[in-house]
Amino acid sequence: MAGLSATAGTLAFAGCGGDDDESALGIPDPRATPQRDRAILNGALNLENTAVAAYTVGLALLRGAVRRHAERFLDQEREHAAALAGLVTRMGGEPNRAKPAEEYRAAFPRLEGETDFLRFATDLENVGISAYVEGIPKLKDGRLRQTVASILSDEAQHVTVLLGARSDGRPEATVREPFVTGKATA
Amino acid sequence: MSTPALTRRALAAALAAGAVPLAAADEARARPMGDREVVLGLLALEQRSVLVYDQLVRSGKLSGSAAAAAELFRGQERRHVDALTQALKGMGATSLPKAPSAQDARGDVGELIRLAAEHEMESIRAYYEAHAKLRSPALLATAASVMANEAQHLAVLRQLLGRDPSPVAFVTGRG
Repeated sequence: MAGLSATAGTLAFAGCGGDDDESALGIPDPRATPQRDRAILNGALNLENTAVAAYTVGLALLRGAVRRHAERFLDQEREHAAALAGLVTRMGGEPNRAKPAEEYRAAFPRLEGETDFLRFATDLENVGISAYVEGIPKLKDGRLRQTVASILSDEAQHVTVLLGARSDGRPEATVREPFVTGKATA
Repeated sequence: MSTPALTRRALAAALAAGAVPLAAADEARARPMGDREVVLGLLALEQRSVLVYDQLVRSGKLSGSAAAAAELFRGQERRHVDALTQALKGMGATSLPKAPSAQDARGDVGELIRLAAEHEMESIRAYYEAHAKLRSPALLATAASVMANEAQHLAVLRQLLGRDPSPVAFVTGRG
């Protein structure tokens, strides 16, 4: 998965620091501002654009029910990207643009079949989940936190379906942790 | 995950060291009341979640993946109850909601799974609303990770009912 770490490097939310004293104290982060909210959403947009590129590549490798799920997920990632771009624009910012497809493909690992893609897509979804869980507490605007949480929950459902396609579908294999952080081993 | 208990201790230590501005400390003391009410509501829901899955497990009507899911999800809901209980204790809550008593599950397998799915929808709605109200970053991170888990439960239950596990791009517990 060497390519994934390179890809993941482009996914970190802009403007997100690590854990800080304010978070540990349970006090709203004093650095939370509308400008930082906008930067966080634009970082999330990078993430969603990467997911769109990944599912676009993956469709050619999939068949049957798995392909139908992936088609649905691609549509949903596009909806996330469009919503985030719209929010950034409404907040007076310039939404980050998707890169050319070849650039994403060059950063992705070598994908030779369904198994490769399912593993890669699970990893990618988990990178997004991890970024969303860390990003939500940093958002100042409660409505934006709601939107991001609704996207996070959709990505978590994607992981469950992807893990199901990679296994015999036992619930223990598809819903692995009571607190979804994106850190569970794919 | 940092617990509110840790949060309180950390706040006290930081105050002693003069590390936290007084206004921020005042805010931290005043705000947990709002967070506390939100978490109390979530705890009551999680206690019902445990009950819902307990009823499914005890009904003896489930088998295979459905039985395994009910047992797994009951355990995960218990973990949510534990986390929220700890959070409330850390915020100084002394009166916690009592877990509801068990009742016999009625209906066939499909009805029982549908009941669980409806309850998951209600939980997701509550966590979605909580994201607008909670102020503590630690509680927000917990709420986000739990909401995502409830969404996964819902996906599995929908699959058991023969439905699309992930039909919407924005999971809010509505529609």
